[in-house]
Amino acid sequence: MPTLERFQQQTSDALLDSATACPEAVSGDKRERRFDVYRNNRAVSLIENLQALYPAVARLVGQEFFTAAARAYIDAHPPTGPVMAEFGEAFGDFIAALSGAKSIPYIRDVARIEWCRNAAYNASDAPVLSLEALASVPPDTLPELRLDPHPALHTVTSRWPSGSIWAATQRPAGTDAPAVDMRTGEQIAITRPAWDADVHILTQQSAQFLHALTQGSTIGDAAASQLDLDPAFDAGPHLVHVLSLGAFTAIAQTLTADPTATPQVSP
Amino acid sequence: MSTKNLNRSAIIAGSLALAVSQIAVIQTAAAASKEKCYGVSLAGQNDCAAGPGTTCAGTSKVDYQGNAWTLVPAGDCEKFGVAETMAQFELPGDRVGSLEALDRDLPG
Amino acid sequence: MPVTTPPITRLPQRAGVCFKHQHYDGIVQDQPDVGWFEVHAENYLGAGGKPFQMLSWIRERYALSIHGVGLSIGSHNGLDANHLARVAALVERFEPHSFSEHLAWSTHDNRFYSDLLPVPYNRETEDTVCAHINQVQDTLKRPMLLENPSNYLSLNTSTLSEAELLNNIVRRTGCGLLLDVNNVYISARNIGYSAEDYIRSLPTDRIGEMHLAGHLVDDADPADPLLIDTHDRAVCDDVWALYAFALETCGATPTLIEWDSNLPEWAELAADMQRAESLLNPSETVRCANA
Repeated sequence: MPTLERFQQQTSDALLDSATACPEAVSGDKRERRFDVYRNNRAVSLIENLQALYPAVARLVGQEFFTAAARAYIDAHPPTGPVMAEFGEAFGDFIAALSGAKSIPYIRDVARIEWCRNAAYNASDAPVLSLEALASVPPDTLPELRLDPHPALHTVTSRWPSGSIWAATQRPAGTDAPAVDMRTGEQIAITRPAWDADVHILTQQSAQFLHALTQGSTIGDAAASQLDLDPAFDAGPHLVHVLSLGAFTAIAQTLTADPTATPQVSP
Repeated sequence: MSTKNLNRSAIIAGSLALAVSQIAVIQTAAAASKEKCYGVSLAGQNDCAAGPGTTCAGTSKVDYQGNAWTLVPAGDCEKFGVAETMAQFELPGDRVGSLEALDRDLPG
Repeated sequence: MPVTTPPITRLPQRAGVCFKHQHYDGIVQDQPDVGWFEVHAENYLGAGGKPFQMLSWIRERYALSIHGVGLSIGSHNGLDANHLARVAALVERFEPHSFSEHLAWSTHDNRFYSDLLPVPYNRETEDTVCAHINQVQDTLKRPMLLENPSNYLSLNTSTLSEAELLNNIVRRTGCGLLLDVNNVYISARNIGYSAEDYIRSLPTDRIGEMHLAGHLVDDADPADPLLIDTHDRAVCDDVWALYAFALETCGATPTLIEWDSNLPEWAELAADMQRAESLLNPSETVRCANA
């Protein structure tokens, strides 16, 4: 007699491959039709979850292509757990690898923006470091400060104008798509200043400055790196800009920027 | 520390101090034009939807066995075209590799 | 010496509805008279953000039921301890008035199949499910309710009836039952037995919650019409009639209107809720009329 394990293994095999017969324990002369209910429930619910997570991708590729790609994805990368907000991270890579997607090389980065919005939406709660908080710091100490990134902050670097393409998918149906220069790369930041995830296109300088700050550079060091690349770099407005997006949660507690001035170095 | 570095530090410190001293002004301007401040956000379109969710129900919809390898995207992407040669040039090799790995999932 | 058993539910004897994010703004604005809300545990297992903020708002004003859809209690593999710990943290944080799960499985060998899959009704399943319910109840430090499934097929490895299995599980674990009346109707029609006999043979004093939902009649094969548990439409008249029978048999029980896809405007959901309320508390229909 088949045990529970045997039945669940056979069910799993038959769900993942529709060419595999339904488990031998299923009774009746309509057994395959009856079992198809489960095959269909699984496929449709997972495809609909990808649809909810990737509406911009769906709008870009069209429904038929999206559904076919999602159908293939759920078999190639089935979910490992029941939390649907954690399922589908590799979908952008997957769809970009399809031969039909050669003409849309930006699709992977648009999908990345959508995945990061989902991650930002569900990220842990933390206060947003306000401009007022920065204004209350003695101005001469600003270059020595480090900033803690907000848990919802995500960045995407794209060699395509993926932020602009994503933004174009947000327009109402039936309106004209804005002109986008397809030869321009973009740096995108996703933040959650309140409860909803916002998408921002940054200048390359702002993006690099932000990146250095998130890696733990002091404001002064991050600014100096940009000044090396561009003698006209004006750090102040860039700092105010990235802060106003909600990119940071706090001024870091460790204020010592000069390692030689740190007394508690482990021997 | 060289004179050049000193100058650079002074430039940075001055820029930061000036920007921070103007924060009240900047905020008033930003509040007056929130849409511009938030870059690409289009009014009313940028709220996160409920996103993916679970179900304890079955479905009335029927999925069809589409072939993702023969279909061509036919949505809004037609408005954002990339020349085929340019696209292929830009695709890194590892994506071609994963394309081959997908062949086992082809029906038939 | 009498032993005090914890109540199987702290939900009010009223009709409730599933909480969907699409309805949140309207609920905040109107603060409608709703007996209680139910949510799926797996939709609130992120680190933070708006889902928690919305659920906190609901919990501060209404009774709450947390309904798991992914513990895979019927799984041969054993429960995913990490997932159970996350659900336990959610239950600890929101202190719901009820926690429930399904007589089903959905995970095997680290793969989640996103559906409530059937188990054979026999001793091996009984032992497996009882061990897992004990583990859930020990971890959550409270009794849980177990929901009867929608059946689309029967298994020749079953040696017990579904009602016999549920009776044994309730007796061995002390859990309660969540009687999904729509599921009973679907299963009885799909498999071919009496829905009323099924309800009568349950431990009716251990039913802590009922579910009502809409379903689809799939008659693509006229020789084998199949009822699908879609939760995408209003409750049908036959299920309302079976619900009245269930209330008669089991007594007044907190009842949920489930509507998970093809979501209607709040008013349509509220109409089903008020119909359930009028059957559940016939002497208090004035309150419903004002809701």
